[in-house]
Amino acid sequence: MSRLLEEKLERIWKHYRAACSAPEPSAAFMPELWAKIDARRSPGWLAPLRVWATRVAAVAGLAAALLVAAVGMWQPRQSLEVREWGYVDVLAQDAADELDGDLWLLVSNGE
Amino acid sequence: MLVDPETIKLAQSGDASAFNVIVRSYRSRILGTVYRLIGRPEDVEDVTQDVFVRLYYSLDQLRLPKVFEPWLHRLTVNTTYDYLRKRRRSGSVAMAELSEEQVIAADASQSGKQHEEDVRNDEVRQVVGALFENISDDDRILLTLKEIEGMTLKELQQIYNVKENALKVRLFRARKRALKALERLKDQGRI
Repeated sequence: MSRLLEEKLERIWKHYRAACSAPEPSAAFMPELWAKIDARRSPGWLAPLRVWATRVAAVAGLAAALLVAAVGMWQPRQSLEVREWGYVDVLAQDAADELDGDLWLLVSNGE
Repeated sequence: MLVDPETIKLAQSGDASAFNVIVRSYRSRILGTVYRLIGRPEDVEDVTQDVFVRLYYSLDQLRLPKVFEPWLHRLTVNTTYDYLRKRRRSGSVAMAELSEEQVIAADASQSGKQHEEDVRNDEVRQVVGALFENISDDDRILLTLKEIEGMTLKELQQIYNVKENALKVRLFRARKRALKALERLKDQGRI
C-alpha cells in the first residue's frame, strides 16, 4: 500500500471530521423520544404476568437442575453393575464354574 | 462525565427528570457520533432517539455509574450497527448517492447561494460515503470511532470489551481494508 494512499486516507478522515459537525436537535426530539419509550412499554396487565412467568421459569430451571443431579448420583452405580456383569462376562463365569466343578469331581474321585 | 453519578442512580430508580438530564447532557455528543457513523442527516435524530430508548430500558443493568460513558457508546455502536444492517438488508439508497439534503445543498451551491466550503464538505461526505460502502459495517464503525471521533485505544477497549492487542489487530486490518477500498475507488475514478 503506497504511502500516498495512506496520507490521502488521513486527509479524508480529517476533512470528514470537520464536515460532520453535530447537528442541532429539533424541538420535537424530547417529545418523540418519550413517545418511543412509552410505545415500547408493555401494558399494565402484562407486568404481573411477566413476573409470574419469570418465577415459573426459575422454579422449572431449579427442578430440572435437581433432577439432573439426582440422575447423576444414581446412574453411575447402575451402569457399573451392568458393565461388570455383561452377557459375555456371565458366560465366562459359567464356563469357569463348570470347569471348577469338573476339577472337583476329578479330585474327589482321586484321579 | 457530563452528569454526576447521583443523577444516573436517580434515573436508574425510574426518575424521569433525571433521565431527561442525562439525555440533554449527551444528546449533542451522540447526535454527532451517530451522524459521522451513518452519514445520513435525515436519519440521525431517529437513530439517536433509539440509542436513548435502549438506554432507558437497560439503565438498571448498569452496575457502576463510572462506566456510564463507555456503556452509552456501546449502546450507540450497537444501535448504529443494527440501523446499518437493516438498511443494507432493505437495499435502500447507497451511501455514495446524495441524500435529499445534499442534493438541495448542491443545487443551492450551483446557483451561487451556498458557500464554497459547504460544497467541499458535501464532496468529502460523498467520498467517505463511497468508501464506507466498500467496507464492512464493523470496519466502518471501528474506523469512525478511532479516526474520526478520535477515541483512544483505552476507550475503544471499554466499548468493545477486548484486549489491547486484539483491538490493535482489528484496527490494523480495518485500516488495510479501507486503503484497498480507497485504491479501488481511485481506480474507478470516483475520487
